[in-house]
Amino acid sequence: MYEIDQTTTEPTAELWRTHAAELVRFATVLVGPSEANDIVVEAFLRSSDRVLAGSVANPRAYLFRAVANHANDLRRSRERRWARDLAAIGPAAVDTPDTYVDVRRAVAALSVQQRAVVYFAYWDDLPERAIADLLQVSPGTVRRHLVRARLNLRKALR
Amino acid sequence: MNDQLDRAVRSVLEDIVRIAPQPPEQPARLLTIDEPATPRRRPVLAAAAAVIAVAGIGGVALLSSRSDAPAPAAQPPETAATISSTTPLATPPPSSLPPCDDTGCRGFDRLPVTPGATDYYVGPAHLGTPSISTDWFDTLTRCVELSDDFATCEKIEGIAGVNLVGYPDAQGEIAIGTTFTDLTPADYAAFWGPSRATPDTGTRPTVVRGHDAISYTNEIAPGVVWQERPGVLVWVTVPAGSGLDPATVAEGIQRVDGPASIPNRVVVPALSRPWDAQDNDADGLVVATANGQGCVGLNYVDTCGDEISARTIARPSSSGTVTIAGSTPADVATVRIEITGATPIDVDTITFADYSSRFYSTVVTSGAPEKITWLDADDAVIDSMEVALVPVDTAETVPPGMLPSSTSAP
Repeated sequence: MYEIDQTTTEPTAELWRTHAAELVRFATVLVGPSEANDIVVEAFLRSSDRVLAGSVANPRAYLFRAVANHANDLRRSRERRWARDLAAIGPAAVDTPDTYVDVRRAVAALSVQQRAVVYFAYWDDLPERAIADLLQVSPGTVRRHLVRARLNLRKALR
Repeated sequence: MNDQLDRAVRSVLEDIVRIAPQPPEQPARLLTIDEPATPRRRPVLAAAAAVIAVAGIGGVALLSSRSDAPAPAAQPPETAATISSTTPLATPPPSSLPPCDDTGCRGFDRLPVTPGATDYYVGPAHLGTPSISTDWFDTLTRCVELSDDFATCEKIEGIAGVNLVGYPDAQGEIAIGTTFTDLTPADYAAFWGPSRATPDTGTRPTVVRGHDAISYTNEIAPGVVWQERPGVLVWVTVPAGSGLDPATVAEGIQRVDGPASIPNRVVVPALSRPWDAQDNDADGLVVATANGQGCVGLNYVDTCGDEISARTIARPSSSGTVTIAGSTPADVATVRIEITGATPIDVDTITFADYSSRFYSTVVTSGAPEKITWLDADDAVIDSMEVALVPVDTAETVPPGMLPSSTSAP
């Protein structure tokens, strides 16, 4: 038996309204559409108290990082399902080149960390330094993930 | 980045983001009836339908990971000194990341290398000051030959497809790569040649610096690759359409000192194949140390620890086989692999260098491995574990039916 935790303060709700949409977009790229909301809600609830307490200099970066961390925590048990969900997403355009099907599968097969940096590099067009700042990892780590992702994605085009 | 790849990735991301669900109006999770809500939050009204949508399929599963206790600390960044100070965090966000994951480990111990073993190449002086990515030595290399006393690495491998040295300009980048491999230039050029989007403008033999070389198109850029010294390929590419001749740049390269050490990751040659340089992972068993702790991995290191579960890798491939590999304590003579509907396989362990651990690797060609058991020389059981197949190689997928029922995804 379960009940719903309906204990959200107004500051928490405001923080949620500000960031929820972009966090869910990010999570969808990480874990697919079926679990994106769950991942974001849990990461948000784990992190929001600290953000609201004022101990976080960049709440947006902190929340993105929390989502990425929570996805990482769960990846060992759920990675296969996430990959299946992501690979099953159809193209928006019917004339999408066949090659993109391979790339879609390759994106789905990337690790969670690789998809995170790919999202920021390709979707948000952020440079490595900005991605590193956002995810609170070193620029070298961002480069490593991008290179590994690129190597895997490149195979899809061969 | 390859333009076609660039477009394809953006298109795929667009498709994914397009179907992102709407976030619920309020963040809420499911609680068990007897679990009290966190008292510091006061109740607010929320639409039940919206909250049920939040819970979704994964809501129940979240209960198992929910915790009001202090969250474990996040892993420290790989290089703390390089972290930007523009977005300082008082405390890392909650995480329980393992010390190693499928992209590598943080905090490997260092392994000294023989002088010259990591030397790489920069361009002629007239190109100006290069951008040098020596961090590739930390992330994309391994040792393949130890010295006689096992204290030093005499030969490394790695760094394919990405250039250590670059000279960016308005037209693109003159790239100079040093790839530590025994591959021939022709094999390397074949692996890293034109993508499907790029017509092959003619791969042909040539000569650079007195060495046999291959002139080719590296993805989209005109390039030339040759073996500059044993175990080391050098390649030079110039921006497509720039009119520059890569061979001219190649003639003027200069050797510079590489790092004095690399992360302590060592390929076990008896349980590996020669690296094919199609990606930057090894092709076999890798042993490592991180913060003094023993680690082992297949192609790359993804686990550290003493327990059997941390020392065993079960890696399915898309061809339907499963590679079982790992390390064992010194008293384990045999590793027994029990397979669904088949006779168990016994694999003898071997020693390597001065490691106290023993090592093994085998490929299960049919059936699903269910259990791994460590046996001593008298066949007495030392430890055992159930197999959990995790497709940690991001280039691989798990074929249908390969997963034991006990390890099916939730």
